[in-house]
Amino acid sequence: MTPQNTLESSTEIKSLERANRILKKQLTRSERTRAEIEASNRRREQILRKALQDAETYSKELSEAQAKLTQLNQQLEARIEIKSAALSEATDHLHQAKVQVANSEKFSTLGELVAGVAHEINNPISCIISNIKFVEEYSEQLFAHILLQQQVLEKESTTIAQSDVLAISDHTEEIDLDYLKEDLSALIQSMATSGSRITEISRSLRTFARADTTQKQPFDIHQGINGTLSILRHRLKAVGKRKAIEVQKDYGNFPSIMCFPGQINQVFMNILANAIDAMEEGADPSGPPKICIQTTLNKSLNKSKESSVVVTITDNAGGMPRNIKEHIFDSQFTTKRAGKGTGLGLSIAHQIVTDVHKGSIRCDSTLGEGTTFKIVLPIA
Amino acid sequence: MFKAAVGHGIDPDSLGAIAEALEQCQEALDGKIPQAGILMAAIDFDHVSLLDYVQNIYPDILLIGGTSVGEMSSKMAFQQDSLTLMLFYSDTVTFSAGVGYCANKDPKTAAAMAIDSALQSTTKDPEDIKLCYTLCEGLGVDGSALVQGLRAATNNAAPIYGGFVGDDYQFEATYQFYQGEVLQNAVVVLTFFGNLHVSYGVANGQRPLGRKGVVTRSKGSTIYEVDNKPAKYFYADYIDEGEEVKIDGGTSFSRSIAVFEPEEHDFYVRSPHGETEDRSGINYFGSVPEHSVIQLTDADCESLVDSAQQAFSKAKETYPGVEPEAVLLVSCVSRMKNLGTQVHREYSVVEESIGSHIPNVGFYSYGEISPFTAQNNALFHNETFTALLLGTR
Repeated sequence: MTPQNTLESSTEIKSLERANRILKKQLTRSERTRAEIEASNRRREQILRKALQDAETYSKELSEAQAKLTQLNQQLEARIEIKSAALSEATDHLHQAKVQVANSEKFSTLGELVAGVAHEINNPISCIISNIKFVEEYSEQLFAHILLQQQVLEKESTTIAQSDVLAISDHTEEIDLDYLKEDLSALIQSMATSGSRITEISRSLRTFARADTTQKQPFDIHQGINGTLSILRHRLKAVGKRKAIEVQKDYGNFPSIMCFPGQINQVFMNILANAIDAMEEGADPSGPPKICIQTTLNKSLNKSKESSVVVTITDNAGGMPRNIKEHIFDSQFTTKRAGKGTGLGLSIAHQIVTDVHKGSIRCDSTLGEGTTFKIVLPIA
Repeated sequence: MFKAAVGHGIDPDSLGAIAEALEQCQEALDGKIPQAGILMAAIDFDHVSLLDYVQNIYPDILLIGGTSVGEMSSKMAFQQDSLTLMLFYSDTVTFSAGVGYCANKDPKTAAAMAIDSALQSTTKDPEDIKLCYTLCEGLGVDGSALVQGLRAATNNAAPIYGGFVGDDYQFEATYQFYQGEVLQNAVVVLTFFGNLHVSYGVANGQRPLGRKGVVTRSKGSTIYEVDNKPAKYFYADYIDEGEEVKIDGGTSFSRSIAVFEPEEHDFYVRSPHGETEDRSGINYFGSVPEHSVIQLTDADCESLVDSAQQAFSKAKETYPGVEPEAVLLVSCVSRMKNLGTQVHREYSVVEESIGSHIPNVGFYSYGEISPFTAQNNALFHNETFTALLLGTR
């Protein structure tokens, strides 16, 4: 081998050794890098997985929060609706209360007037009634005296101028003394009856129009119903084609209840007047017009629950359609022609029974037949 | 005249590597004697032998350098386990070198010491410095404080550029080179005077990801508590239960955080390098103020590669001269780990933009130092790619 070849071989060997060193180092580096990359990938996956989980959690929480928000919104809307309805109802109540106050004031004034008139009537009618028996007695005595005079005249006819006898006889015929005698008795009887009737009306008016106190007081509701019927008696009579309205009473046996009598009378008045109106307004009652009034005591066996009285007023005025029945307790609802009704009667009745007396009032009506109002009032 | 020569040795043998690098430089220098040089070498080399070899050939050279995690150059592109050497010759630009010690204990004083020692051999003032290239101990140094120290020592007059040296992601020991010395906890500087143009660019390509936490207790570059819990719990959610929550390097996942200072919408990135001795806090390569909001960050290959391109483009667009004559690059080691087998792309996109005729070298660091483009005040960065363009034309 020449020195030239030796040098070349040595250079080549060094070059190969260098390449070998580099390759070994690169191999070691590659293995290390691969391990690092794998570890890095694992960590990156972990962080991304966690971030994804967080995102899902946030998304779920967001979704739940949105659902909750929607629910809260709905609840809020519902509450607003309820509040709005309550406000509307309160406004209605306020309106009714105002009307009722006005009516009460009117009623109160009218009641005082009626009570005053009734009181003023009392004295003269008492005078009339108390004197009627004397009128009857005196007239009988007068007729007895006339009879005695006639008997004397017949016995002494020969001694009395014929002309006088004739004049007496003519006058007797002229005044139809026999009829007069008979009719006077009937008239007196009629006057006595009318006087009693005036007394009864006066008493009813005073009962109906009595001013309510601020506290409940004992009240015989039968007396209230009867008084109301007395006031409405003229309306029960036959009018035109309509026959007289028959009132059928079926009263239970129970004591007075605690209530505001004037207001309860107003309830009876409104319901009964409405029934009569229905019969007058062309309704074709099934059979002769009739109003049935029934009262019962609903005695509670449960000590925690109060006993109550139930007043059922039924007419056969032909009933009403469902769409009307659903609104009859609404304020300002009326089926009557303009000027005839205020549309407040049954609304006020409802308020008196439910709000003031904590009772209940229900209306059942069958079209073509009739209507029943059932009023339940606590006894205390 | 300003001449930069580049050599890149990949021989695992220290003398073999430095010899081939130096040979490449000499060929480029064409007989001229360089006045200064920057040597970056992988941790496994015999560093003393490398420095001796260069100084034997160029006894008067001002040589600084340090250990690196990866190297890149216009000679051999991206490499690991290699060394790069850039030598400078100029008749219009002058150089000086300096060193400061104990940067781990007092980074500001060490920075001042380095600048002072660089200026001592000259008649220049700090304001005369046209560029301060610096390399610093990569472990246990508060990067923000060190940069503040360098800025103060140069009277905020000079652009400061460089990085924190590494140790192949072992986080055990890094070394700095100053003339023939291999040092630890030191900061070394190479200062440039005269007719020199420079420009620079910075970009990171990172995006914040996952849960946000508020730093409730921190001191300097150590975070002790996040959301009033020990800082490592912030990481616990994202790490397999089988793995210990151990922030001590040696892994390829950076665990870097985006730091949003109070009232700030923009973030900077901080990377951790280990736990405190009592394991009560996590140490980062820079300070994290209390009340900052932090998030882990993630990046993909495309965003990282794009950011390298962006950084170089910013520097190129603002270069004040006709054409740069040398390019220095510093990229964060976490980017290298994130890019994995794609790491060569980061250098490739820059190389395409630079062109093969402009010499360039770069290394992967434990922290980057650079002003933002067109600004003069250097900042400490993590997770960034930085580019420095220099020349006299």
